Amino acid sequence: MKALNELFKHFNSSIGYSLALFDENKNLLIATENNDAKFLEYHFTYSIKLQGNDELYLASKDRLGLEVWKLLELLIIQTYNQNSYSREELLISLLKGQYDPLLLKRAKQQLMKASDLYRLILLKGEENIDMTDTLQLLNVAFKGDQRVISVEMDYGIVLFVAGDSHNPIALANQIRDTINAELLIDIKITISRGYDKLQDIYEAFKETMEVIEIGKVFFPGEHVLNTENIKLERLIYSIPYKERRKIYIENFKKDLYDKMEEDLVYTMEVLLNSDLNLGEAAGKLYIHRNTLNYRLDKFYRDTGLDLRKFNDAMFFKLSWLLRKSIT
Amino acid sequence: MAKLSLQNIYKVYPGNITAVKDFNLEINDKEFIVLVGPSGCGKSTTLRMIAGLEEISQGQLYIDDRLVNDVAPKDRDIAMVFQNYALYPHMTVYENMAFGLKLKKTPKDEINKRVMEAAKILNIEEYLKRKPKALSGGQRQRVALGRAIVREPKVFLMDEPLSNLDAKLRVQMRTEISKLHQKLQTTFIYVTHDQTEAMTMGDRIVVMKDGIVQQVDTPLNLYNYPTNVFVAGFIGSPQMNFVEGKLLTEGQHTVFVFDHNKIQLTEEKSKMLLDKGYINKDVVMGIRPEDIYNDDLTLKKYPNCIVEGTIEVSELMGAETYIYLRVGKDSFTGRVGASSSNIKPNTQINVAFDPNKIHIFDKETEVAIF
Repeated sequence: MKALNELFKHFNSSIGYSLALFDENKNLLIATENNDAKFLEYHFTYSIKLQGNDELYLASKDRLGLEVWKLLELLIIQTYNQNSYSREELLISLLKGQYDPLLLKRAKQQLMKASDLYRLILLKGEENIDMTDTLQLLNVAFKGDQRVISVEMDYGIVLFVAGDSHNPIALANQIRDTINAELLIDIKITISRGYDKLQDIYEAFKETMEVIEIGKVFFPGEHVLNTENIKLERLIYSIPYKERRKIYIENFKKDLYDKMEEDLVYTMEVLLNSDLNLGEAAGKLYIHRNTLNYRLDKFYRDTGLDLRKFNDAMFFKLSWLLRKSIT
Repeated sequence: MAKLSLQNIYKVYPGNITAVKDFNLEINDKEFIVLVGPSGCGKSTTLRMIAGLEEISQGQLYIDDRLVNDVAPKDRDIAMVFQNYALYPHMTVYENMAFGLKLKKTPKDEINKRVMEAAKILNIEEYLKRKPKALSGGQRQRVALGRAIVREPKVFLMDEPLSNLDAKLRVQMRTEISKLHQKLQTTFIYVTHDQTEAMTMGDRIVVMKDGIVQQVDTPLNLYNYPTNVFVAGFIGSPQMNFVEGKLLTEGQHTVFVFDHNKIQLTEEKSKMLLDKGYINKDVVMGIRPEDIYNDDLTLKKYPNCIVEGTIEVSELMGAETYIYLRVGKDSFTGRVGASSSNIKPNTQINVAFDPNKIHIFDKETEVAIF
């Protein structure tokens, strides 16, 4: 777009025509004078065919002579083609929040292809770790895979994964294990939700960065986090710290949890993570179902909360998350 | 080849979440050590601390008498194999194995030498020019191992490397990894949640739960002499049967009473219980399924160890039959001869518990008395 802008500035100063360039949907891309120009304000329009069936419209308030029109067409096509970006460059521009219409159009063609959904996977290394080898490894691992593009940003490495043929969690685990084994470095990985509009890519990027921070608070030992699986944690984290602390102190028995046996709390956490399924929780804890019931009874005696009941379980979950978020 | 010493190792995450507590272990040179336990027990975290991928919060880790707490993973002379291994699809087997060394800027000749040696050890020399998609599952797994072998590490660290494989391939690869250990004569530390893998592969096994080492021992000792209820239940399939009851004296003998049933304990075990003051106390009794008998010979041999129960289900497994028995409010699994397959559900039978194989645990602490 920058080159086209320059070209149109030049038209204005050297030729003096009032010109504008519109995309195939008649959205204004560039104008020599009025940046709010509407397609219908121009009396004369000329179609410019580009590579890949793309079409632009050059609009003028004055009729253009054939030679002038042909010359302008040639200049616009050449400048447009000079503006070609690699898939990586397009992705970096979008991740930086640069959304001009031409860039978006090209990005859609090159990044999305037939896919209607994409996710971002963010890889964050420890501070001061050089991620060059990691990027090289990813480029080798996904060479020839049109659905995955890797780029390095200041915050970490971002993978753009188009379509839903890759299971994001499995892919993230595979990436982590491969990096661990080949480079002997550790990384944290977060996965965005699925998005269908490239305009949302900056949001998706922010989301993955936010989940890294949320992970430090709620899942310190976890290395792969999927945004879709931590909705409640995101909700709690969106409350300002001071407010969280206030809610916790005012509504929950702070001292009680401090005094509670670690084993008992762990048991309750496993039960919550098993969707209150006693059999599943007992299996995960390698204890008999009766032992789990005994612990639940003890927890009820200590707290007045019966985690076999949804409301009590929800109350405990919220209080526990709040506690985690302020300690 | 290396020995390792883990001394009072802790892993504490922010928020005071303790993943590993006071882990102590001496690993001998060339030993095959298996860390086993349920999900979240701290076994992978321990392995990752050895690798240097996780920082050690407290304690000392020595590799060959060198303190390595602050040594970068790449300088620890280790190689890792993980569950979610990925081969680079467009590279040949040779290139896949060489890739890590290329990243380390190893000279070409050296890479070639190491890849050829590893290929020979793994019997994959003839596949070196093939791409991963042209390999079987087992061959791919060998390439994944090859990528670790070419590093020529002092210690191999394996984190559930077989978990993603189907049952048949898992059994096959179990043997291959054991053979590889013998060939390489290197220290192996292997993490798994699968007690069968642990029992079949390890020279010694470390059983973990909630970040704490429960027992370190040889597979046979773990099976025969578990130190607590958790280890007893975790090791062995089907699981050991547990029942709560009381120890009483009957004449010269000690009996374990549960419901309306009595099991007379051996003289030696009675004395031990008496010495430790367990008579008239509530305890937990454990008996493995294979130590429950329904044949006439054993019933006659142990007439004071017989209980009557109702068969709920019987499963013919080929060489043996699993019987699921209800005795009052308690249930037991027995592993009996295949001829018992004709036992129908809802029939009453007598079974004998081998008194020599009975385990007794403290009810409060769950620690084994024997």
